[in-house]
Amino acid sequence: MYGMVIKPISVSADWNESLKTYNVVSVYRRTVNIEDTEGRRCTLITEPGDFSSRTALVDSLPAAEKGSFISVAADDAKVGYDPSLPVARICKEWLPLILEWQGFLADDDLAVLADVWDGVNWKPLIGLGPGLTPAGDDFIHGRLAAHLRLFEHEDAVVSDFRSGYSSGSTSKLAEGFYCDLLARKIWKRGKTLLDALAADDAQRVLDAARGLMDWGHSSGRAWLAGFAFGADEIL
Amino acid sequence: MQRIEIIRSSYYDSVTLMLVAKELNKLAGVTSSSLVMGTEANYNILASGGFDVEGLDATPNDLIIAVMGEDSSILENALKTAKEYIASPPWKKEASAGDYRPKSLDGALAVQKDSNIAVISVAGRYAGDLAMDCIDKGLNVMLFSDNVPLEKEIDLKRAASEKGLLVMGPDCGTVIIRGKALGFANACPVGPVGIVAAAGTGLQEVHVQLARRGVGTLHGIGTGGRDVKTEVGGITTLAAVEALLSDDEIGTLVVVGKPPAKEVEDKILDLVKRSGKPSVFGFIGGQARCDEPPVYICSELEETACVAAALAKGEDPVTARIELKAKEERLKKKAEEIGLRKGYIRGLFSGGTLCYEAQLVLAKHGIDTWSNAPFSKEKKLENSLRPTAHSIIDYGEDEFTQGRLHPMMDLTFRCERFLTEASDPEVSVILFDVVLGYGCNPDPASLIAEAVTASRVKSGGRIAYVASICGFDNDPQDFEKQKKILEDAGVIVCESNAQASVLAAFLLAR
Repeated sequence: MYGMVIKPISVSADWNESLKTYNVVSVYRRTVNIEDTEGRRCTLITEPGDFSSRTALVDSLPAAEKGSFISVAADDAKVGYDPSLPVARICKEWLPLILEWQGFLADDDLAVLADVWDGVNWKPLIGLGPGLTPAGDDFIHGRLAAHLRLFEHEDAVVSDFRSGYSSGSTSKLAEGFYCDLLARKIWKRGKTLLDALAADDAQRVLDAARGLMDWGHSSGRAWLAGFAFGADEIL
Repeated sequence: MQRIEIIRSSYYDSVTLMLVAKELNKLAGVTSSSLVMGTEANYNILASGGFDVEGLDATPNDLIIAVMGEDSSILENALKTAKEYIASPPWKKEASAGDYRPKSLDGALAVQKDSNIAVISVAGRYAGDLAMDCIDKGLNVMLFSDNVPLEKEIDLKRAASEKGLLVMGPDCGTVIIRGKALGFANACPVGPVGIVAAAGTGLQEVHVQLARRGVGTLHGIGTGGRDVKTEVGGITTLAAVEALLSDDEIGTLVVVGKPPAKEVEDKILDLVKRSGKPSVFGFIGGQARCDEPPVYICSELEETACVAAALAKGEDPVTARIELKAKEERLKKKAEEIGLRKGYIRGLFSGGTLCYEAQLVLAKHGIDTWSNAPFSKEKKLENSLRPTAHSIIDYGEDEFTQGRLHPMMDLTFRCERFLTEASDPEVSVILFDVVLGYGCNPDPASLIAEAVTASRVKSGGRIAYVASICGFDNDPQDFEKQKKILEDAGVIVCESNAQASVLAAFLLAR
């Protein structure tokens, strides 16, 4: 065992190691990304809203540098978030609201996506735009989330992505999110919105949309735009 | 030194343009700046502000950025800043925090399914189609936008009528629904009066004057100024009158505006007489006519409110009228105390109906006025920026509001006119309105007081400044505070627009 030992307050339901050592791969203001010996991404967070798969909520982030090792002892941690994405409906009454999210592509910082998105061909969007999760990947992620949410079996759009995606064509983090999503796992902000869209509470939908818009510089808006195109394809 | 740049085929909302101009004026070395659409009126305003507009070829669809300053590097920087700000206003980023609000009509209706009214405030050329979309979706419409073509207004009102809906507007600044204000409106009590009005400061003045007499208003329905003309046929006015007459919560109906076309007036009268509900017609500038109780005919706004309040309180409207008339004598004495003077009256108004009423009151007192919005065509000023003799100007007219904020929100241009008028040695009285309430400038009195002070210095104390405040105690600007600021600056503040106009007339030695 190496380095300091972190005791999380709570963990995501798929955090199945009671004690394990990880390599620190990146350090940010609100998150620290770590990697286990099998190369799987895990994340330490300080805000419950940032929960995703293989995520642990901690009081404060460890003062660890990239390349150092830390251990996470999750024996006593409760489950704080279930990242699984079950099939559920998206109420059609929200469709007019969802469709206006397509308009985020008109924002200056997302215009680069609008230039290449033709409504079918997702490949030019892979890795497009700045950031650890490029906006193009956020967009595709949102589109796939809509399809996976509604259909138990992968439809043509999801199958096309699964077969057409070439490993290593975007950032490791974005690729990790794709893998999780295809395994029907999603981060909390997205799930919160999907759950709200299955119910009949307008304020809940607006709050969830706001939560996404506040995610990253453009990530949330790109995801919402992709989700809106996905929803439009199937609703 | 000046720099003017034209951005072709660009529309920006007037709030953005005002805020950008304000930011530019803060830059060191910038002495003046203006961002306006290229309308003829805005060319004149730029020219009156000292800009050389010779050879400028902007159209009404183009944005003009004009800056004046000390040297070319300052002007270059100002233009660059202006373009950055209009492309990405820093204040918009702040405004985007907080709750998420849908941006589309369909999105809004998805989250608020029981909506039954839409407020439309977009550029006039887009407003008509958007209003029709709302009507198609079963919504009543408050059309705040102006510059909507008459033919479009008729189409909208006919379509709405077929569905039992109201189109309030265009150019409808004020609506009150169950005491709740939409647009420009005052914080007055809710009560048994229902008002139908053209929809601007006429409605506000009656609303306020009723409140000052202890009477509240339940609904105030704006119709748009053209509704009672023959071409439109009073579609909204008649529907609103009918709705309020059949509303048991409404004890007294008030209809306010310029005199309607004869056939429209007959229809309104017919509806009212058949209902038997006490009603007051405030047809500003209409022919003097006898009351036909329970229908009372008035020709001024305060008189309309005075009679309606008496009816609502079960008092004698005739006595109320006599008491109001008696105030004129007191105003005459007040004028003598202040000191009579020779010269001209200049009216600087933000409210269209208040401007119109001022002209009529002055005419009643033998003062012939010119205006950009006159009550008779032959008295129309050739150039609104070059008043002549007695002139009463409405700065809320379309010519001043294309790509600019309404003067009830942005007082900059009107305040500049206090100085311009002061430099005319023949001007001896400046008459003006100050409108308070939701949507209006948060502190108009301070801005006007500053302008009055500068104007007084420039005129050498020659000018008397006479005003009325269209406001009530609970207004967000604080009525008493605003009144004190004006009075401290030497403004004579009257109880109503009509009284201010009477006092202005009495101040002239003839």
